Amino acid sequence: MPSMLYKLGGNVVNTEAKEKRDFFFNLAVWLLIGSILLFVVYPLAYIFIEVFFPEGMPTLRLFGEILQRHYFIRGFINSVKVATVVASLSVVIGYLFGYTVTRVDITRRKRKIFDLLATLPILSPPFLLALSAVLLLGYNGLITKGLLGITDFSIYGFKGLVIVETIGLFPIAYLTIKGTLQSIDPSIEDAASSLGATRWYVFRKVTLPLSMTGVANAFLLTFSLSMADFGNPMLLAGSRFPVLSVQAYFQITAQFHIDKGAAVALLLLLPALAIFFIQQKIIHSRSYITVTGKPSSLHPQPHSKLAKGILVTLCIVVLGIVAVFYATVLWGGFTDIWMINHVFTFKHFAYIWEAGREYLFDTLILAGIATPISGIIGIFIAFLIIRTKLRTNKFMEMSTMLNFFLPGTVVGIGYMLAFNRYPLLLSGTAYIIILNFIFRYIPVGIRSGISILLQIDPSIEEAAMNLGANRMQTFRKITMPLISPAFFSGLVYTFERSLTAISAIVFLVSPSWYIFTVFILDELSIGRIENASAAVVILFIIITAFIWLAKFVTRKMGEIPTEIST
Amino acid sequence: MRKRWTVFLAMAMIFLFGATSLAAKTLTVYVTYDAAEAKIIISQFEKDTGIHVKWVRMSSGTTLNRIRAEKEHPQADVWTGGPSDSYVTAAEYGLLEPYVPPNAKNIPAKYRDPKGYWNGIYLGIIGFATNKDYLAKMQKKNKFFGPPTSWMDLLNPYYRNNIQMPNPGSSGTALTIVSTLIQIFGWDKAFDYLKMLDRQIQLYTEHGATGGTSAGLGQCAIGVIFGQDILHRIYEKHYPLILTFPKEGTGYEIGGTALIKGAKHVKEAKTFINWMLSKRAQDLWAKTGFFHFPTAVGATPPKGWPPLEKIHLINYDAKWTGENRDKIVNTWTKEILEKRKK
Repeated sequence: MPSMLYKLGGNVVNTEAKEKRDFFFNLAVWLLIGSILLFVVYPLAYIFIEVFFPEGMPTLRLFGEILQRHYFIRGFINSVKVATVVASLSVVIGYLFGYTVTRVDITRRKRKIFDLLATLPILSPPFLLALSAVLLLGYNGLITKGLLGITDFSIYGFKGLVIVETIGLFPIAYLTIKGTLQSIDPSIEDAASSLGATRWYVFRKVTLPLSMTGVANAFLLTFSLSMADFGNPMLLAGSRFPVLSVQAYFQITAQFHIDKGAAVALLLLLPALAIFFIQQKIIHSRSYITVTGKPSSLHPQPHSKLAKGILVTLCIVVLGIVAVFYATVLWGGFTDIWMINHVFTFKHFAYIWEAGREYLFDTLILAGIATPISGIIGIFIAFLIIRTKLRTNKFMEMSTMLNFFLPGTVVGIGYMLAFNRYPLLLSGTAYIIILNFIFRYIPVGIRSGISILLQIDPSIEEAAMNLGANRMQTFRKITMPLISPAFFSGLVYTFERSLTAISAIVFLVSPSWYIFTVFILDELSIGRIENASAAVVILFIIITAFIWLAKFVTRKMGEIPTEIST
Repeated sequence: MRKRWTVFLAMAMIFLFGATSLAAKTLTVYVTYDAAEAKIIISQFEKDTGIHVKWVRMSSGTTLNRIRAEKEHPQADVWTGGPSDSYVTAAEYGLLEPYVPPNAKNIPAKYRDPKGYWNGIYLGIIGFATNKDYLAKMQKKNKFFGPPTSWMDLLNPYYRNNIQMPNPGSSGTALTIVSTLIQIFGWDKAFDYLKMLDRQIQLYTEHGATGGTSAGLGQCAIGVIFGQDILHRIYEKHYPLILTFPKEGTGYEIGGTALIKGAKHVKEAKTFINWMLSKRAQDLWAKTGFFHFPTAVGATPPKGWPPLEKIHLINYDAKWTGENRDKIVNTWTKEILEKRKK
């Protein structure tokens, strides 16, 4: 600590220089607001115009038409139903893993394996889980018909969607909750324990209440992702169990009604917004400041044999299910013809290399550019929201979140409409795809940033400010190192989403810049499951490598505060 | 640090405002048939003409919306592939430029737009994909049992809850199927039939060809889809399927190609359209592995297709279908889908 005072103390006298450098902070803020207006609000405005001012006059005709249709009402109910169940299940499973990994005294190796496998489902295009579900549990599924001999079980609809979306989304709940659990000051739990509280009591009275921000954020994220999910319901919901995101998509792509599609998608916003406001109230109504220094990453505590046994068994059961789903995909990638000729072959990989190589490189370049920009902006906004009282904070949080909640189809159409005219003629360029990636996935960084920042005592930052650091320095030297775990979970997720995004991007690809997932969708829609599986295995390897790299860097960054204080 | 931020800001400025779209010097094509197929066809075109082509594959709905959104500043010159009813809609929106190429003489008039807004480059004919193993199983119970050869055969109780067809709300194939039935039986009778058929339907799929894969994998007995998609599954995927056609008549899509209004490379675009209508280009349909039936007189059809005279083709009215899309889809959704119990 003394050397930290010394280092930052150099600026105390020069308040003029500090003000000057605050100018850059302000400039950054205004630039950010300008970009949000341009790349979030402006395209959405076109959607609203399409829905509410179809002929230049304000009208509710389109909304009325949508509300009269029994089919859309069913879609609305179905979407909310699925999202609620999926978010609840995801949070429970995410918490199970978050707690087991950060708190239970399991072996290092087990912890590593749990952590690795629990993030696995994040690694592939969502519609592949659905495919796996059909192959395993469909009418001619490996499990249903092959093993159990059942033919009347239907995976299509509510059941299938809940299974597949929960598998796909619980890792996000896990990452969010783990981040929060890691940053709870262990001495509080230790204090409770040494005062004689049982593990169960400590969990109920200390750990769980302190991690409620993480739970709330996890619920918010998974709920909105489930509402906007489009790949899974595309294969599993279908006409039998209409959900809004898919109905909006088909209104636009199959029935050519951009206006009606946008109107249906706006219906998706209502419950998402309601949840958003509820969460806001929860997060801001309590104080969760527990961190007074560097957050510890892991804090295993002794658990009874029974508790440990139950937790570990549950984790293994969940991971077993995940493993089966992914093994099916892998198997598919190496199988000559699924369910017909199960001969091992590399030919699908050869095909992907031949036909999809260019698309893969394009995607990597675009995602690679978008990811760091999105990560930095996300964490910066989180910092602004929690640590400053700028009047524009609410606007920034809401508008970026809005882009995240909306189904990709709508955002894609908005971009398509807004950026195909002067002054911003971006259609057909790489910019339109990069910008879409950046502004769509900022909320991930914001959410995880907020969740951690809420728990860092602002007095650390205030101390730096009092000692003469300007706001930018404070953010870079104090805040950033403390929140680096959240920063990288945001980064990893943004990269993954960019590589697997489809619903918005399908409207933005151009001959010059094509996207790998659109190529996979082409393969799927013609029924080439094996090729799609091979393509996903390739994506899987790339993202795994990236996560490994990100973890390595996080570890390096985590050392910075130590360096300052010594 | 100040310096670093200045650099960052400068980069951001360049990024935000330097975004100018370069006018490509090559032909840009939106393709609606398969990407693997497009690779073969377009590389042959490049070889034949020396014109460099940039292309991207998108579904017909996405393409139509894309061209519509780009109306003020068209990004592409040609649209190729995808059912002609989408082209009818595109022409209605004023997105296409009429052009009658010299090679149009190769194409029977019923496969072209009289005003030249679009020209047909292939046919996709609706057929039944029946799982052979399922047939064999049923033949053990009833030795006279064969694959369905009429629309009425689909109502056979042996197929109850065992047929998949696409949903017209999401699939152009399904629109072609429903419109075909209306054109054969008349509006009311067609919907009476569809209501009866509903009992037989296991699933209305979102994609046009999913039913073929399901039938191939034994998830259902029959998929009602395009014949070329069935042949692709028989010869390329080795699924145990049989292709049959209904004797009351069947409809078809005409794969279109058209010049986009406001195209930047009109000359090259016209060369492309004319080339697509040549026998040489259409002979390629037999080599791509996607089994589209050529429209050009004398072009070689892919293997597996019976002679066209053996299939009872109706005089399918794509223009009527395109103009009545809303009415067909809305009625079907209201009468069939929304009343569905399962």
